[in-house]
Amino acid sequence: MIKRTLITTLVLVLGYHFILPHLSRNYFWIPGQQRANYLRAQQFVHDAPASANVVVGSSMSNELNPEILGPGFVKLTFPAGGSFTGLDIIHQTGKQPPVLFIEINTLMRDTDKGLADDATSPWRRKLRDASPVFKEEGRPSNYQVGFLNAWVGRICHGVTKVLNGGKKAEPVAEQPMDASVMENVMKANREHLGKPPLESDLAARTKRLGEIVDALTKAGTKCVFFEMPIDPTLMDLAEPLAVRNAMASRFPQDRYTWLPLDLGTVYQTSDGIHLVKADADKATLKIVEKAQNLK
Amino acid sequence: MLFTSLPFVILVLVAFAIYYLPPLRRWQIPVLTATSFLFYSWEVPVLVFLLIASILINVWTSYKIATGRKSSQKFWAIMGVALNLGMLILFKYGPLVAKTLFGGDHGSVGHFLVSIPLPIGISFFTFQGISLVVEVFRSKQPDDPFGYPEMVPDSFMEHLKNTMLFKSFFPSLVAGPIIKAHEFYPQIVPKRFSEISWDVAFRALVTGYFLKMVCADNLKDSTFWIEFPYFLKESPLTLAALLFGYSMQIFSDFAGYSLIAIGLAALFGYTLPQNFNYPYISRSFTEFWQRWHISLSTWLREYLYIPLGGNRKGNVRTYINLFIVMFLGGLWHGAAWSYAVWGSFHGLALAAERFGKNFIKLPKHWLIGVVQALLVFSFVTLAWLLFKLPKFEHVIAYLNTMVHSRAESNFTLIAHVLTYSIPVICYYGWYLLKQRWDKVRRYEFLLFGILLAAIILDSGTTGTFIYFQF
Repeated sequence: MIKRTLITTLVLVLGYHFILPHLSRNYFWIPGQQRANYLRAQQFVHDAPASANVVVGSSMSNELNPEILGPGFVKLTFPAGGSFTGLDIIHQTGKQPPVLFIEINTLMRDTDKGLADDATSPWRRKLRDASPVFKEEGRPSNYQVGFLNAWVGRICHGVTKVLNGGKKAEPVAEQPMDASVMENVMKANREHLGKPPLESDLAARTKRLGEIVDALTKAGTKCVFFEMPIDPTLMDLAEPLAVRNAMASRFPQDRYTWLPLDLGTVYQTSDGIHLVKADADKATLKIVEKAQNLK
Repeated sequence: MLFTSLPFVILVLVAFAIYYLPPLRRWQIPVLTATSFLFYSWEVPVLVFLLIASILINVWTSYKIATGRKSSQKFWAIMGVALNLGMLILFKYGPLVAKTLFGGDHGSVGHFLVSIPLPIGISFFTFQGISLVVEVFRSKQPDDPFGYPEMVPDSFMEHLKNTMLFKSFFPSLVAGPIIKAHEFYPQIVPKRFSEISWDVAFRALVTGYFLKMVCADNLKDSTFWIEFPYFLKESPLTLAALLFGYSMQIFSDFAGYSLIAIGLAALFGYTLPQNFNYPYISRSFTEFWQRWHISLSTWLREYLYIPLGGNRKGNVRTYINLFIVMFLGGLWHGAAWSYAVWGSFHGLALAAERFGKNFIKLPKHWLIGVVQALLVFSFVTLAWLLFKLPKFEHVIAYLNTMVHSRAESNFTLIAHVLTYSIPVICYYGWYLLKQRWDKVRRYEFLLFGILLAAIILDSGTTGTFIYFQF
């Protein structure tokens, strides 16, 4: 039984290796932010050109518009993660982007070790170079989720149509968050950002960031710090304030490059933390402009 | 150290190679014990001292019961149980006591209790320790109805060596199955490579790793959204799907772990008890607890329910006993009142079911069985919300959103949940198919081939086992 099982497995994996390049992308879907994070990291390691500028950060800078950034940019921005994950991936792969934009908002978040190790582990890199079935985008479930996603959507729309007496449901435009939900979200944001970080933690992180930035700068990378704008009522709470002050003192503007993402007094967020598309686009333009000026 | 990590695989391979070397056969117990200590101390080495302290308590008290004067046996048994429970209460429930009695970490006592770290696996190895003390005590009673085998040798050092292995045995150390002393001690004999049950080990390991790495680890990326305030933005359908997904995840995570433990133990010549027997097809809560976390249910029955009087003292007392056992069983899972509420929910369900049986006799029909199974599954799944959201107000908010939300459904999230829940449903389907049509066993190699290929091609990102926190 064991021998026959192993042969079956081998046949299946090899078969999939040959079929994968011919699979239709109609139903291809990367499900979930965690999987998208892994995909982004792997694409940087395996496919990113050496000449690409890089943005490292969290879900906040993940809102930056890739179409405006263009092919000369790679985003190593990880929702639920922070800049250190991107910085560690760059460090471990030995890549040296010409310009590196570093989001400072999530300085207090550690490296996602699982993600960084997965993307940079030498044996995994070799496997992924040998066959795309070992890459995130080669996973069979990407097709299954895409297929189910399409069909679940169709079935639900069909049910809605029947319930509406045969009328097709009106497409609903993206709605802003319900006021009571928004209140709860803002309350959670205030609780989270209202706690000051431990000074020793903050010092350790700025020190570590300094070591990485100095090493990259020495190797020829131009590092630019920026802070993503968040809701004005959250901007000066204990954590963002402490991080901003610590960063300003460790990386003074006369010795390091900073990009103020000043969007004026009127800008919007979807949940207090993430910019809405129009304002994220404005921030993206400023980053592109800065990169061009630094060339 | 995680069962899914590379250092663990290396540790097992090295230990396995040394363990079966013929010249080292008499060192098998120390090799396995050393492997277990290395496994336990990998992340936080200092915790090994707690494990040693727990071992010494159990070795000493059980040895005194077995070899001491008859009149002191009860004293040592009470001492052993009390010390085990004391250790568990201090390390596991200190923060809960602090929050309940001292309003959190205010004051020196509160601060001390809150700052006590939770040692991984303490609930499991403490319960094993209690089983040793109680079983040795029972076996020494003239009217022992259990017929336990002799577990304590004359030599103290021999007993120490055996108990070190029993308490630290790495496959079951941090998340069970909870092995009872009488199940393990008779197995402590020299093992031979030729006696390994390869088939048992292979099936358990492949199924276990599939449930954990493919189903549970992928489902966790979806069920992550069952977190306040994120779930407030979702539609009723999405929230129902997420809850269903969490139910599948917690099963695949824990059943997966137990199967891996059973497979690993088989590689080293030991047989661990079955811990999950397809619990989601249960047609009653009683049946559910005979199929879910069996090693805990039987432990609670043998060492708590029966000593409380079980069902021998009338109906009302039986209901109360069921409630007490499930309340404490709930608290065993975690130091938060939500776990006690979860246990109470099951306790009430068990008592109500027993009460109802006196009046309602359902006809035997497969359709009624299906409806019963669906009802039990729905209640069990709903109760898992107390596991996922330890704050009551968040549980209420989730249920409220499930009823009142007008948000659009997130089909991608639903599709993701379905993608990794379908294999779990198939796992149950295969079991039912095997019951009815034995010939399918002929094709099991195909099924295991698919499972192994899925582990290689579609494993999720590594996540800790949910039951590690207990």
